[in-house]
Amino acid sequence: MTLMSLPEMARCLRTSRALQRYLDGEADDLTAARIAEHLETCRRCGLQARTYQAIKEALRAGSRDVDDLALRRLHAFSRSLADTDDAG
Amino acid sequence: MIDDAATTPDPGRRTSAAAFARYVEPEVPVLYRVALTMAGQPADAEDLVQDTLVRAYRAIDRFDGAHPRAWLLTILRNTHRNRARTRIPALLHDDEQSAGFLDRGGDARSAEDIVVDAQFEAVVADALAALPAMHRTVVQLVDVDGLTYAEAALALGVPRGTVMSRLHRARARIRTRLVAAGLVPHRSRP
Repeated sequence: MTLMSLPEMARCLRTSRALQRYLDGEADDLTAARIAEHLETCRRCGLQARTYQAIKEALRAGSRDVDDLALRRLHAFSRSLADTDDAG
Repeated sequence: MIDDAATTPDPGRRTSAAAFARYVEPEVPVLYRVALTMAGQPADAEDLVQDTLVRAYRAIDRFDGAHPRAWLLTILRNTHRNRARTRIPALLHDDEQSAGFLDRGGDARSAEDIVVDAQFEAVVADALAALPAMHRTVVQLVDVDGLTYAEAALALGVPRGTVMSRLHRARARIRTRLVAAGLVPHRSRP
């Protein structure tokens, strides 16, 4: 097992704290740039990032199909609200 | 002088209808997805969105046009809370929804990849179903429904920091399940 230097450990800790925000696109530009740079060089954090990214993708893949008919009904309902009022 | 009022709709109403079409109608799919997460059952979700749309229409004259999604999510949350007061709280019955999703589009992946992906997704789905409701809801709003942290916070009526901490804990639990299933390495070595 390779020993990490203190600055390396600090970078891993900072990455770990902000990783989810980064993956969700909620990190500010500076943080995002720092994390992206760190993930390219740190195997451990890179693996962590890939795992959470895969979890996000699996959740999206497993998402329910939205019922098109229900959506169409809701759009029609939405339009009818305005139309009814328009008619007087 | 011609009396237009007898033949033309009130200009104020036309303005309301135009504002509604511009700000509200594009958000209907998002509202429905969030309502599915919050109400649990499709029929309840549809009713919830309809009630939200009616309230939004009544309030559109007072809406300043900034951040329509945030405004609508707040209305949806209040509508949901008011509806929930008048009925017995329903538990989320999403086990079936979580389990029945293995039908994915085909591509050039090998059969082995597909099996591993399917196992991974099945464990994630089980882990999601096993989460406490308040954690599961946040994951669904952000990862499934695609809301930002701020939007999820508005939908739930909690601070943004609470959304972040619940998400963090929820995903960590999902990851722990994946480690236990041998699909993700335990702490990797540097």
